[in-house]
Amino acid sequence: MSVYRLSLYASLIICAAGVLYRLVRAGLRRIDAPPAGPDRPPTPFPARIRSLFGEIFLQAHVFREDRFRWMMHQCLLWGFTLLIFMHALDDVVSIRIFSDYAPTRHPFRMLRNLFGGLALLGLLMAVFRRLWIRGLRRTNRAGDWLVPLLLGSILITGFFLESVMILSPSVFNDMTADYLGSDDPADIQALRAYWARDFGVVFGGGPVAGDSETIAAGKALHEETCAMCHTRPSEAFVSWPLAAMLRPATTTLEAWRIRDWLWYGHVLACFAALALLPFTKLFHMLATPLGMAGRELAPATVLERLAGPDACTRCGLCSLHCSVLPVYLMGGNPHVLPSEKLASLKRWMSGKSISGPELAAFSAGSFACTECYRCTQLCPSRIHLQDLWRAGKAALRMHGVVETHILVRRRSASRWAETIRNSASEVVAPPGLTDRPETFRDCVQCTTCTSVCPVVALSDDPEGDLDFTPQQVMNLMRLRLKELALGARMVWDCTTCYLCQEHCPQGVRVADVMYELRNIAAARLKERS
Amino acid sequence: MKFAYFPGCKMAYHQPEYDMSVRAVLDVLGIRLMEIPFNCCGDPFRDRDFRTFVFSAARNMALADRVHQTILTPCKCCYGSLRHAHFWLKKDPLLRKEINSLLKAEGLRWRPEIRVRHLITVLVRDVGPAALKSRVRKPLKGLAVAAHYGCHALRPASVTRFDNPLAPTIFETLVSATGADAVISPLRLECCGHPIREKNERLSIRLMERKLADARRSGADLLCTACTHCQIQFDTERASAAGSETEGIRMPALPVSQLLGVSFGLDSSTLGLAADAEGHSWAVLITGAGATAPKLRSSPGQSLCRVEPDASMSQIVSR
Repeated sequence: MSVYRLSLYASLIICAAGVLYRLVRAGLRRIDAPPAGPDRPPTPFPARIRSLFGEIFLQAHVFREDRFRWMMHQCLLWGFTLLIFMHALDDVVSIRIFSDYAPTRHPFRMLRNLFGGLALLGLLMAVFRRLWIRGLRRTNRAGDWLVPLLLGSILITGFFLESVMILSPSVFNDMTADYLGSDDPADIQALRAYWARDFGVVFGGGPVAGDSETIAAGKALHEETCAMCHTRPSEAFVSWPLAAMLRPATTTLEAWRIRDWLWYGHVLACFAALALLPFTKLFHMLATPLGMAGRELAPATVLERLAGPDACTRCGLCSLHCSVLPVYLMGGNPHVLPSEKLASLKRWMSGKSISGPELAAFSAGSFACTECYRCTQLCPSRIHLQDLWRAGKAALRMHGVVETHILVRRRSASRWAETIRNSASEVVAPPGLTDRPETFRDCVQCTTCTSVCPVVALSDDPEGDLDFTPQQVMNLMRLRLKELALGARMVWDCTTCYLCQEHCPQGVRVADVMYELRNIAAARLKERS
Repeated sequence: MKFAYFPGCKMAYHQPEYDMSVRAVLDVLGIRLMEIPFNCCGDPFRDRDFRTFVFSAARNMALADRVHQTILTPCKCCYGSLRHAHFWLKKDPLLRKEINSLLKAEGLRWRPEIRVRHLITVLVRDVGPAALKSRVRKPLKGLAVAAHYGCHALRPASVTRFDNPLAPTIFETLVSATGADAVISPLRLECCGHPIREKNERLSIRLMERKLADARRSGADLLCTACTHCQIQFDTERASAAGSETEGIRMPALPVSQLLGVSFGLDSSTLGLAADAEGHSWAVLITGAGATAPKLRSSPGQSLCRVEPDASMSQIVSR
């Protein structure tokens, strides 16, 4: 068995095993919360099939959003798909469909250049996009370059290989030895002259001299033996100009056996891409249609939720348009951004433990989400992100990771005062209300704030339910007992309706103080975690 | 008139009908909306970090300012948040400097000149009740509507500058323009409970119950909202709070834009009136087909009729 066959089978086995592994892993992910309802009104079944087809193969949804991205992905999708069927699988596909198929014949050579050119154009557009859009650079990771690198290597080695083969006299000699069926130097000379003129082969020892008679003889020989597989390579609109550029270096290329190296490079890059398919974002080519089918045919299903996280190509669109982007810009927590949060959510769903600062960052990012739905609407892989975020939040709560509001209610104000007292940090929010005596100086403890408070009104036992009433909270502040107010349920159950502040006859900013106390407690708890 | 439209985060997924009806109504009135890639208004972060909140709000204002537009938002919490940030940015030069240095990284700048308006303010102050009345094709006569003001736009008045915080009239003026009777309910200025919905569910639902019962007692057929969060609370959250006392209170809530749209004679699909969260079809009732519904009682001389108290909460209005 040749090394070629061996590597091919090895990469096929790795690919198949990897796909199986990823699917099993997806199936084992836990789902803690019931899926959100369908995001679109149900449409008739044939229409759903049509729209599914349109979205998977034609990316109609991307076309409506952004022509550049659509063009980019269409070039990549169709360029590579057609290359695989016509070129990589030519002995299985092309030759069965076209009896006269030969890689060096019209129109196949032109088509190979066309498909390769499209794929290369798509790839360049993708790389350009990642580098050009400033907001995207935020989410670019080293790993994001692996796939462009692999695909780029395949295309570039492919084009160079074809150009070098066009130029190569040794390929010509091998072919004539095998197929010409004549050792007559005159015949060979005639064919050489014809091929040097029309096929671009560069023979050593300067240009091949040939009068019109020799060339006519060469042409006759060509038509007799070569023409059934070879037409003029000038139709290779990428490789032919490339060959023209490489022409002066033919001798060196031949001497260094560049042709062989390029062949190895090309084949290895193809096999590497095949083997890595399940382990890189290339896996989206399976996961995306799977998730789309789940979403379109049976919305809010397990399938859609499982395939979702695998369908991400890290295109960064979600993070670019995220509604809470300023929270990331301000605090630098990458888990605020959807594309980054998704990776952690996937691990969380796989049952891997996330703990310590990472869990704190992940939960902060998860709870920062305002469910604006924008990422879900924009996602070109049509991942139902909204459902994942909601499920993620529910799962976090279920595992006891809760927002500060709920956490605070677990202990009394005096116990909280003990726990978060010793923190070194002190938030200096610009209003700086709670530390300024003048904020509370005018408070006459008239209880107006308490009597207008709707939260107090709902309680039969305000001090039991809320620790303190609003006017008592203000009094704590006057007595410089801020620590005691930080964990008071009144502070955290406040609906921020501002009735107290509006009604205060002394102009004390009661509700603003409540907000600031929450800020301080949140900062201290964040530091503790 | 043209505005930078700030729907707010909860609109697209949680209240698409509100969004549709705002657009439809403003379109009728010749008000054009400009779509800008806004971010969150910052309101949810007021609990966590003041500076993050101000930065979020300031970025929105700077984005609108870059294209020389005034922000129009149909959400009272977004309005309050933006106004609050505006107030402090204007008042505190140190804060302004810090926020502007952050905005500078994106080529943005916050200026005190940028304006933020709420949907109601634009409708009542800019368009005016007379112009609204002239558009009314199907006056909602006989329909008693309680306006739910929404806290964050109203208070603190020194910051939000929405209306008189103790005795506001702007919402009732708008309701009256549709031909409906504006009901003054005692708790009209109180909280819907949504700000603590996910934080203290029981308290949140009890606040809502209190409001609904109050509107009911005041003789209202319908609660009208002008805030995405309030509408979510009275609509979807109520539907999910099964088993609570809210189930017994027949008091549908409708965003002001849908109420206005119905009076303008816009069709229900344009207004997103297909169904409310409890699955009742409004469309049937408003387009007139509801007249065949068994529980409806027709009242001569009225374009709209009331339904028996035990009827489905949505079977309120029909020709």
